[in-house]
Amino acid sequence: MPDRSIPVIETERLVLRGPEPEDYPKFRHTFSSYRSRFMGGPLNAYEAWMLYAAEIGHWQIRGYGMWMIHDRETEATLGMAGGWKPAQWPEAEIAWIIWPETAGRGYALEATHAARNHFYTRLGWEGAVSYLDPKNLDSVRLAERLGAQKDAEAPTVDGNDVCYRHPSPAQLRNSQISDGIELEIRSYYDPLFTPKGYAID
Amino acid sequence: MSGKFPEITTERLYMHVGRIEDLDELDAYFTTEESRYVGGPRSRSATFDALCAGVGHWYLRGFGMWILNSRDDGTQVGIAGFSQPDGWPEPELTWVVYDQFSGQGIATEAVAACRRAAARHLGIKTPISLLRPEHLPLIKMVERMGASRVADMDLPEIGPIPAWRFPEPETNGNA
Repeated sequence: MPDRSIPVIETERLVLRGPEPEDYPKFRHTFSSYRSRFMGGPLNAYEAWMLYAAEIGHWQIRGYGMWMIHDRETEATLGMAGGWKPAQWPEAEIAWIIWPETAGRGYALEATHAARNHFYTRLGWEGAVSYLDPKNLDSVRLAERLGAQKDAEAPTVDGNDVCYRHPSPAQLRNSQISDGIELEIRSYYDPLFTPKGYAID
Repeated sequence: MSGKFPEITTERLYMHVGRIEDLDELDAYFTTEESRYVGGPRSRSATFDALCAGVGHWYLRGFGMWILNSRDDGTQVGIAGFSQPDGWPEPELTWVVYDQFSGQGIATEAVAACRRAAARHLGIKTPISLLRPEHLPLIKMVERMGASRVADMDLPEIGPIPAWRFPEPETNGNA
């Protein structure tokens, strides 16, 4: 019973769709691994399935949620990205997780950039945050590549996380942040040059 | 994003899939000690997650739980429906009616409606219920409805649980 009402977003390399039952194995694999340590994991089989169900149900409960990220060409799932606001979250969050074997290719950047644009232009969001574990360096780095900045004044989920505030729709429009993001995304599939030993994850 | 899941109206109940408007009353119940047999007591945040998961269950399985509201005044009186977490061999018919509304046959009414809807629309003809042997009133209730004790169901990470199976309901009533 797929949810036809979840919008589909296409980007250069990706298709973002509502999570489907057949996408579950990769989710379970990732959430039963150490990879999920900053997202409440690792989870046992029951918890992982319930979280997956909750991610789907969140769409109906909140009107937005997490997409499954697919490779446009192979249809393979690569991870998840989108909006997330459990009951104790002070503000709506832009969140992401990339399966361990597909990390390092800019997929999270491309997916979150598209998801944020959707929330800003289609749903009228005035802004967004991401609550990050300060030890989750990959995600801190991604938030910064998205133009988000640490907001020390903002309430956090439970005090162990740091609130990163995304640029507002106006800030995104009136700056070079979007251009920089799009240039970086382009560099993954159409590199201007290919240095040896790329430093970025 | 609504209207795609079946809703049921019985004599006294309006049964619907969870919505954000249900959260306050769910939270009021799931922070009480009374909820200890059905996953509580737990935080509002855990109840929100469970509300989302309850809706997601419908997408993943094609069946799930309904929230029960009184048709009289809209008060939430309980939850009933079908649950099949990952690895369970088949769906379980499960329910809770909050203590303050018990003793009025609401559980029987809801369970009968679940059975009829499941047999007609969800492909579940003879569901089982998992009950603790010490919960004699519940066992009496399901046996009055024709259920009989069957082999224990072996649940992943939990082990064998006593099970009762309902017969196929007569479907000429109002679903």
